[in-house]
Amino acid sequence: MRQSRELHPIINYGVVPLLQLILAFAVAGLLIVLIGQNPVQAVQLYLTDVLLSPVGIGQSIYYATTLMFTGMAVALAFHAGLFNIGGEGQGMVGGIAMTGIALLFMGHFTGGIGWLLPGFLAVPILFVFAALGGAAWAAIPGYLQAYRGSHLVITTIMFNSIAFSLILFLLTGWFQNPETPGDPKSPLLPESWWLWKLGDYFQIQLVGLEAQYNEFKEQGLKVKDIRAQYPEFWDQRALARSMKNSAANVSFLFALVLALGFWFFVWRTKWGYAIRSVGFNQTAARYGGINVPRTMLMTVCISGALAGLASTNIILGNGSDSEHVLRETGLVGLGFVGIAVALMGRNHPFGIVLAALLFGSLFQWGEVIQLKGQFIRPKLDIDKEIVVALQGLVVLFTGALYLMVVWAVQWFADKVLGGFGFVKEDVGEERA
Amino acid sequence: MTNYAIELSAISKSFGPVQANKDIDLAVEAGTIHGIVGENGAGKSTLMSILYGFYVPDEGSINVFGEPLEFNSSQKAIEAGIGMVHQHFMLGEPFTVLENIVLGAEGGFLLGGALKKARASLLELSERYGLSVDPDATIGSLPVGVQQRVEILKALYRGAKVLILDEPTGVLTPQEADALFEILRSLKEQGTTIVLITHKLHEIMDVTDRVSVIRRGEMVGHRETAQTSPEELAELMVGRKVLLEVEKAVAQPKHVALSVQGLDYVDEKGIQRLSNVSFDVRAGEILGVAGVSGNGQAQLLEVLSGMQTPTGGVITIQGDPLARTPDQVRNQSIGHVPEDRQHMGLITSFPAWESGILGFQASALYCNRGAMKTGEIKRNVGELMEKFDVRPPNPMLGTAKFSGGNQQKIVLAREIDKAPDVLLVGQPTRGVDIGAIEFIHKQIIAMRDAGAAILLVSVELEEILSLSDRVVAMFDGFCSPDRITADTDERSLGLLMAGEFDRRSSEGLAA
Repeated sequence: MRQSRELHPIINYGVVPLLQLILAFAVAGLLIVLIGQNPVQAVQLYLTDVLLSPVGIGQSIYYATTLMFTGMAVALAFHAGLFNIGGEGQGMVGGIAMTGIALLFMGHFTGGIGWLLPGFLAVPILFVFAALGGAAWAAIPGYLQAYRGSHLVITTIMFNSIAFSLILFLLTGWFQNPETPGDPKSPLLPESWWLWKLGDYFQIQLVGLEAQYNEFKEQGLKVKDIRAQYPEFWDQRALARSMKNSAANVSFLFALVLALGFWFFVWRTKWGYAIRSVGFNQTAARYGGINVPRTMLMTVCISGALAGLASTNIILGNGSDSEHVLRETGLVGLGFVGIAVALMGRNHPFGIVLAALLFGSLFQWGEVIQLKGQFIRPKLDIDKEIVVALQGLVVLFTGALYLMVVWAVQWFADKVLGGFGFVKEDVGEERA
Repeated sequence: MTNYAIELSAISKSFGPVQANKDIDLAVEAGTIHGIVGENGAGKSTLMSILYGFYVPDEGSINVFGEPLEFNSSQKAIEAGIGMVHQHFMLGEPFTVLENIVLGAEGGFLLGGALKKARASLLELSERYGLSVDPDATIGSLPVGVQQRVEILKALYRGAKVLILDEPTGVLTPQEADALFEILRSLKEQGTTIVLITHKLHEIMDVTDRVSVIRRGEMVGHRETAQTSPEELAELMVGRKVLLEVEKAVAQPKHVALSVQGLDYVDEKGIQRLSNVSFDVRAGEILGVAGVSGNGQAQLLEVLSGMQTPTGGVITIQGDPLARTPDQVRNQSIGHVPEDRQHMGLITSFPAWESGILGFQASALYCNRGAMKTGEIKRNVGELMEKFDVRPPNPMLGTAKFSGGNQQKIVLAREIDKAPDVLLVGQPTRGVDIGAIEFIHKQIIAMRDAGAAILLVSVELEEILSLSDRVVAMFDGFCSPDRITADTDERSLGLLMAGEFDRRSSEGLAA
């Protein structure tokens, strides 16, 4: 009997990614040392202000939501053997389509004559248009790849550039908020269309807490007295005040449901079967009666739709009350980070959710380093772009050098642990 | 004491957990032709690669003409007088014969001197062994049989006294193979020792003096060729009695199920792959398509299965025109076992249960409004694997992990199970163990007896002759008139395979 040996799934999907992460962090730490700063301080900030802080967790989830959409967008295309790096542009055009239909309802184009739909009607429509916008923007490169053989990487890069110009053109013209000339953004979308966010809960709570606070004040209590006599109240109020803008919102739950749907679609439907067949072996797919170009086009369109949906989180789910607008920053680069998320998540929705949470927290870390680094002693003088470097390192170790780590682990398990950590499988007779 | 050219003693080699060679002893007498037979994957090629310095064995030693051979150095092996002719030629196609001979043995900065020297010794060599080739012809322009001769000359030029040939007849017509054997005999007469690796028993019987059999990495027997029989060798190879002859009743052909008239196909590069191909296949018979690989058989199967659109001609299935796409063709009850299971018939990255439904993934059998009936599929494919003796019958296992023969059985099970009216079969036993070959042949015959029309494409002439009821041969995209298999033999088929028939393009002009 011949046997095959593979690393145990726990090692393959748990230990290996962890090692890759540690390596990436180690090299990033070296970088920080090289620019004369203290990496320990940076890591401390990551722990205290991201992982262990309610605000940090909320913001991480908010960024992770966007990354789940863009990560799944990249992963779906990967399953068909295609590399869609146009998530940024597709997300942007998703935002344009969504804002366009929103502005139409708001009467922006018709001199104020519109029809302000209630939220439960408007939000689904806005989601659909975000998806349609992303799909439409992906359809052209998708068509060119599937039927004309133009490489998707090249065309989606170009379409990103076109989207950057398109959004500026619209925000300085048709979509421009007339009240803020010179600031390229759309008018604020009506509050009833905003997504319910974590901060809303604390805002409601804060109303009562502030009333109580004023009552204490009227009783003649000083701030430090309140703090000393009612520590629980004080902590609760402090938390509510810091969390009232927390942007983690219901689209996180939507993205989780979508991740489940992603799994079912890819591994349990004939369309997913076709997509994976095309990704693994186009000749065999053709033999199996699968229309290869049509499958490619469909995949790229759905991929674009997922990227387009990311804009709902940024526009409808924004933490800041004045930022429920379309801006030229689009997905703020999270469309590109989606590539890293898909790579690290091994194109599986479960992995993507985990990787999105990790990268979301890294993104928040960058914000914290930038904002808080100046105020701690000794001063931590690192630009938030260090996170981009770290993301690059994670991609390097999880993508390009993936096998290096796997081989190292296999070697270690084989030579040092004496074969521990391998699963053996009977595969019958000799292979030809 | 006998004079041994090669002595291998107690050679063992494993790749991870796979024991490719186990405690192998082999002694090849100088000046003889020694055959090594074994099934695919038995470890023949590994053994020869060890001898040629590609692999280091875990244990054991090698003596060449009494001198111990250093491992892991092809250079040392060549110096010791070992020459190897690989299954896939290692020749530079744009170069001339002479340039290829010198390649790797130029000796100095300037080519001119080496070429001049080589020309002289090449002429001397070809005269001595009767291996005539034009030194200035480019390799690409030469027929395969002659290319092989160049490979042999290359080895001799480097002073080979022992010549190892790995499956040398796989790419040859019977006539070319006969010519090769003539060359081998004359080499032997001149004192060269020859090791012939093959899985074709009749070649062993034809040309060797002694034969060694390998089964699953172990040497299971050495025989004097004159004192053994193909039956005994087959039994040694497989480890049990094997039926070499296919038992089948006389065919009962009925109506024409598949008809091909004047079929032309020009591929994307503008090369005419099929020219005026015409034949009929009746329900209940097997039409064999013989021919050396690359003469249009692959394209014929692709056109008939809807993967390529013909540029001319008429194809009808049960009187209706053939559909345009593979899924529609499948709906016309046509099964297709492709020539290349690894690149077409299966998706090796899929688990077996997913590969086991390729082509039927959207059928109501396995799919309900787009959602796959996963449980149903796994059970169904598992049953099929049991029925077709796939080992192990585990549908969850990755397709790539099955051996070639078992992969082939997965494809056959999938296609035969749907009981198609017409079955297209390409190279059903390529790279398949003898034990599995027997099984696969039986399945094909059973399909025929159940009333299917079968088109069998194979480069194994023996297979064509033993399975098909009628036979045609393909040459350069043309298809010969058909012969009744019972009334023909290897020799006359070989002539057809070499293009010795009236070839007319569809315009009616002689080609």
